[in-house]
Amino acid sequence: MASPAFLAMSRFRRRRYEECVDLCSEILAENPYDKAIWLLKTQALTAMTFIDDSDLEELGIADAVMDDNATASMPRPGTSLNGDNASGKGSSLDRVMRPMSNAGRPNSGFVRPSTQNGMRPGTGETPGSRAALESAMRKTGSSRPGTSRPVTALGRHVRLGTASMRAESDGPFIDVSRMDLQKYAHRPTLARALCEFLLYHDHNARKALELAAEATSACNFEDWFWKSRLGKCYYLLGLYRDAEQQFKSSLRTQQSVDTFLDLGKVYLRLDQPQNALDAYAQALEAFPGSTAVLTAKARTYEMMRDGDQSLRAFKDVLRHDPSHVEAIASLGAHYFYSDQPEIALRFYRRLLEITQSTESASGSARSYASTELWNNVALCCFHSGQYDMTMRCFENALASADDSNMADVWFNVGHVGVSLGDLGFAYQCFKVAVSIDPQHVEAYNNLGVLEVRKGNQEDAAADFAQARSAGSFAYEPCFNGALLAYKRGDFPTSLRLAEASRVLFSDHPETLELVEMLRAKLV
Amino acid sequence: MLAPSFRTKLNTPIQPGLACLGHFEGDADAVHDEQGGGRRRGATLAIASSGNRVLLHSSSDTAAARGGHDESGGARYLNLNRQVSALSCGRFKGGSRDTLLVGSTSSLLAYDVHDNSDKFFAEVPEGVRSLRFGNLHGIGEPLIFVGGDCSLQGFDRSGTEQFWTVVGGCATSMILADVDRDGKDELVVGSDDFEIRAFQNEQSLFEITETESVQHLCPLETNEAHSSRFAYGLRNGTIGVYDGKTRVWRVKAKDDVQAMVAYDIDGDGVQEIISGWSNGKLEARRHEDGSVVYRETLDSPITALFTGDFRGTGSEELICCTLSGEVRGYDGHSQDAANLRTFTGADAYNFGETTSGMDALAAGRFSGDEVMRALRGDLAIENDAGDQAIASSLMHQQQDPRARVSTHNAELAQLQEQLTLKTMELRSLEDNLKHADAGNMHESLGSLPAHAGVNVTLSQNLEASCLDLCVQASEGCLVHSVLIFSLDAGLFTEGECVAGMNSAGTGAASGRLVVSLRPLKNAATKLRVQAMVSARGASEFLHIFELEQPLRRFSMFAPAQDTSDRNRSLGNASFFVPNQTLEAVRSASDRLFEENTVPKEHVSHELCFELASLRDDSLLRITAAEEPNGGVRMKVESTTLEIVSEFVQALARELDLQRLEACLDFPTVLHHLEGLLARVAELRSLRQRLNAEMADESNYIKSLVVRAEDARVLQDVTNLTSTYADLTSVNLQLIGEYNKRSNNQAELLAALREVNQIIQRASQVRVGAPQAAVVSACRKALKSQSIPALFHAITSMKSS
Repeated sequence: MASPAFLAMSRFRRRRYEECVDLCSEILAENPYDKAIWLLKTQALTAMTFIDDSDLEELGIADAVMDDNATASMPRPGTSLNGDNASGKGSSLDRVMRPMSNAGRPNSGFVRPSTQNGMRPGTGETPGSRAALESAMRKTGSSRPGTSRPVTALGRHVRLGTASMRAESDGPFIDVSRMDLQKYAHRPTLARALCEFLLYHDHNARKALELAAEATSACNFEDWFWKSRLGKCYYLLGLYRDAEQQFKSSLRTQQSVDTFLDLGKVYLRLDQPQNALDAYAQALEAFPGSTAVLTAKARTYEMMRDGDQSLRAFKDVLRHDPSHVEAIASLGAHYFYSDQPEIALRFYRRLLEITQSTESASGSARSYASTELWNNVALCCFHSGQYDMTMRCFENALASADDSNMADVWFNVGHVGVSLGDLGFAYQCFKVAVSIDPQHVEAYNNLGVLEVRKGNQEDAAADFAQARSAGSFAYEPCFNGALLAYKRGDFPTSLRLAEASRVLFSDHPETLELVEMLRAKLV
Repeated sequence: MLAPSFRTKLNTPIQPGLACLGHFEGDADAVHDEQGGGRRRGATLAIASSGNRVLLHSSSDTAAARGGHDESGGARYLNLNRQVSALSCGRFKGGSRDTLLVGSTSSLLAYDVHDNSDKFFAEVPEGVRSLRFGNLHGIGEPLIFVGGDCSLQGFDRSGTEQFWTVVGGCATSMILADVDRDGKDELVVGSDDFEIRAFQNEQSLFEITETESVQHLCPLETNEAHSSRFAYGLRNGTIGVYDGKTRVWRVKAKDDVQAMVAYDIDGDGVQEIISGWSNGKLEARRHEDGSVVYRETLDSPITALFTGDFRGTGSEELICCTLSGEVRGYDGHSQDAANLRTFTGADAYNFGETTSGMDALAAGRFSGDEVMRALRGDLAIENDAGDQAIASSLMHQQQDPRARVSTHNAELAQLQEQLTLKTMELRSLEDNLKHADAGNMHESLGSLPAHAGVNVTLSQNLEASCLDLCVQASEGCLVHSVLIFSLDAGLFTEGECVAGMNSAGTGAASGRLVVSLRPLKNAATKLRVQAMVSARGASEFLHIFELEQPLRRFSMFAPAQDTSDRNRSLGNASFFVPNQTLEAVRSASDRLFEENTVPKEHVSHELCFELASLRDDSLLRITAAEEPNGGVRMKVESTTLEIVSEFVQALARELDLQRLEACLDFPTVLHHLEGLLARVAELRSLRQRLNAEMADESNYIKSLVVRAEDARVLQDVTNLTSTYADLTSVNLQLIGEYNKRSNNQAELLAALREVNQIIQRASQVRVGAPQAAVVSACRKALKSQSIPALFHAITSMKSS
């Protein structure tokens, strides 16, 4: 029989945290002052709820809508993350070629917390206003507010924080409010474990801040770890300026990839992507070829809508890590949208291979984004002329689809139908798509177009209107609506819609032509 | 009249001083706008607007707005989330555009508008009261100079502190100018303790004491001969010009001067001093003599003045902002401006003749009868109102003919009034003459005997703890009243002038009048005494005698009476004065104190005397001993560090010492400092905790708002009401936290101010390089939070 302490450590190393915690609890019940075991239990509890927050995190609605950290209210195009739709360095062709996510951003090749639900207020919405809040809530859930998924106010932290409370029936393991943090501050090992516990398990940034402040002064402000933790606490509390100072100070003592990434995150929150990129550049000098930093850089460019730079950075990532899923997916998406489906297909095939191998290795039932992946492969096959493969791939995609992405797959099937000229089939597909997701803008838009072809102008107009109300980011329903109204002779409506379309996409030549024509007629 | 070259109305008020002009959007060369034509880009105006925001406005924005395409109306806002207390901009070495600098009560932000990125963000616990961007000699790159409460910091482009020194009060304005004509720029700092200080690097060059809080400084670019000139403005409405340490001229007005800038408004190649006033007056004065070149009154108080190329025309214009949000430009190269020049040229010659090189006020530009009017009309002349009445009448006297044309009617009315007064005077003189004819030659004639004179003596009054200024008229004359002016030092609580009357103005005069003076500070200055003397008590005519009474620096110190029980709490500074004899030291101190306070003789190479202040009875003991191989070793003991440092500075000036090192032993001060530093540390950690709590609560508020909104959309009224109830209580809590934090901030500021003052005084016990060394050593010790190092820096002793 092994010593219980040894057994607990062994379980910790084997990542059997729950068993480790149970064992530690038993030992602690006998001897509550066993520091080693206390430390082990703290670490095990932390590890159970740990998430790597160095790269990504979700913005809560409250953060996004009531964000007053951005300095410039009308930044120069290309210098901000939340500019209006028309900004960015991408050519105007991109907008025609590449669809938008419902955040009003070009679709990225890889789903990340910030790419899908665009909760940041768009143009014309004052941050913090009720309208902005409502539209943010509408965007979060796929349909009505409060129905599809709980509205979280503050992103991931609060939610997980509450979830982690559930396990402990006989009161919390560590009651921070009764702790003498100053005492712990002078015991570096315990303090570190405790700090991580507070941050990742309790999500109590305030207490963690107190501890870190004590600890950093206990070691004469020389330990980079405490400074970066202080920064992290400030960051979680929303005190970004203080966080920036701490991270910078920490980097002066000791450079580390994590700290650079954290610093970049602070700048992104302050809506200063240029500074974030500077931080990443510094990080790359110190850690050349760090894929984490390169990925962060690529993402930042993508958020700034600088497609070329983003692409270059993703290529860099692949050079260092040939199996980097996000980079492969992003490059695939890029090649697909830049009309090179064959090359895109190669990237997606590579992804499929990686998926297969990881699947067989880990034996997990569900693999990476298989629905989307099959869907993409199908589209690539279709556009590169391998028609035999197309429907098989869609079938695969639909087999693994759920409510969140099935509508998209049906929409794509419908799109293929349109391309093949089988309009009846396409119509059916779009109908299925909107039945699954009543907010599917593109499907409504295409339905409308099909109705026009059928001659049902009333239905078409209704479809366009529905598409417009479902998403305020797409110019197509506006333009189509305008064109339809023009054909029906309703010039004022047509002009109104055309103007709306121009606001969304100021370089669209057809829109401009239509506006000219209407102006000439009306004025 | 000078027509503005442009006028724009912004719909935000412009607060005094919170505006600046810069090229934030890249260089001033050609930009290509939509029409494809290249044109120069004008500078952008940055204004601190309400809601903690900064408004950026450029003339190209307005042009775009006029074109109808820009929906925003040409204004862009920057959210800062903190109260803006100072605004400036500057271009770092090698940069192609200006960086916006925003100061608040606890931080400084350098922001690149073009890139939408922070250059740096620095904590400035002392607060940012003034900002100046520029090159100080000896530092390779331009620095951002930040004036705060008793502290002066210089930041480089990365936000690292490259410069630090202490000043006596809150640094309200700073300029970089070559005040000693050595070809290198010095930092000149005006502060609210009435001082103007010049720093070369971190070393104090000289100090000028003014009569009020110094609000504005502005460098003057002149031809070679006047290169060390700069203009200043005080809170009491005085503006003037200094040439190095000497004042060239000054004038005073009733209103507050809000902004000053140097600009060549009449296009003659020489800059004028443009001042903007709280009553909307815009005034341009010649820097040589203060004569008015141009004057105009706008509808709203002027709040900021600067020069720059706002419209992109390529020529530098004068930009004038008013409180109501109006922005005007004046072009000094226009035809109007040239007219201004030809019109004033001839008249200004005369004027220059009478006042050049003289202090306009000191030259006694007010005639006797005006003072009389002031005295008669307002017997309570001891207050500021009377003082200003004189000053305002002075202002009228100061106006040159050009200005008279512009304010024609008022001037004419005044002249008429003067005329009637003169005729009345003449008439009464004639009356007197008639009386004289009737007999009794000497008595009835209002004039004084030929030998009449007034004698002024200053003596210490130990009982009342003040100085007695005694005006003694010669035989047969009566002193009616006395006006005592202190024009340089701001000695009196009442303002620039103190008045004394015999029998409280009832008219009963005697031959002797005693006025009690309690100078606020130790300053060597001259008091200007004006005695109103008449031959007889009831005479209608008073004659004015103007006299100067020198006031020694430490005139409020009298020989100590009883010193037995005061030895306990004395601190001392000991130092060695090389190459001086004991006699030189003795006579130097003799010049500093009132007569008969310093012993005339010294015995056996030793000099020792004790003095007590009339203000608070604090003791000053000075011991000097001649060393066998030359030089004098001195020890200055006192209860307060302030007196010691003042004495050492004064002595060094008397002996013309360039360098003096000293050891300081002040247990009480060190003890106090230690307490203060502990307090600062405590307040800082408390502040951190309060900040975290507030951030936590505001996050909670945000999430509650979202939850409430969600409940509202779902029409879940129960949840909605309970969430709103929570929201209210958290909000109240947050307000409470805020109050706590603002108290904390105020306490922290006070403590830091005191620390800085102690450092400044400790540094002033030294002279020259050691003085700067003490300051920088103290800063280093403060940064590393090492109290022993700080004590060592202050005392210069190996171990205490």
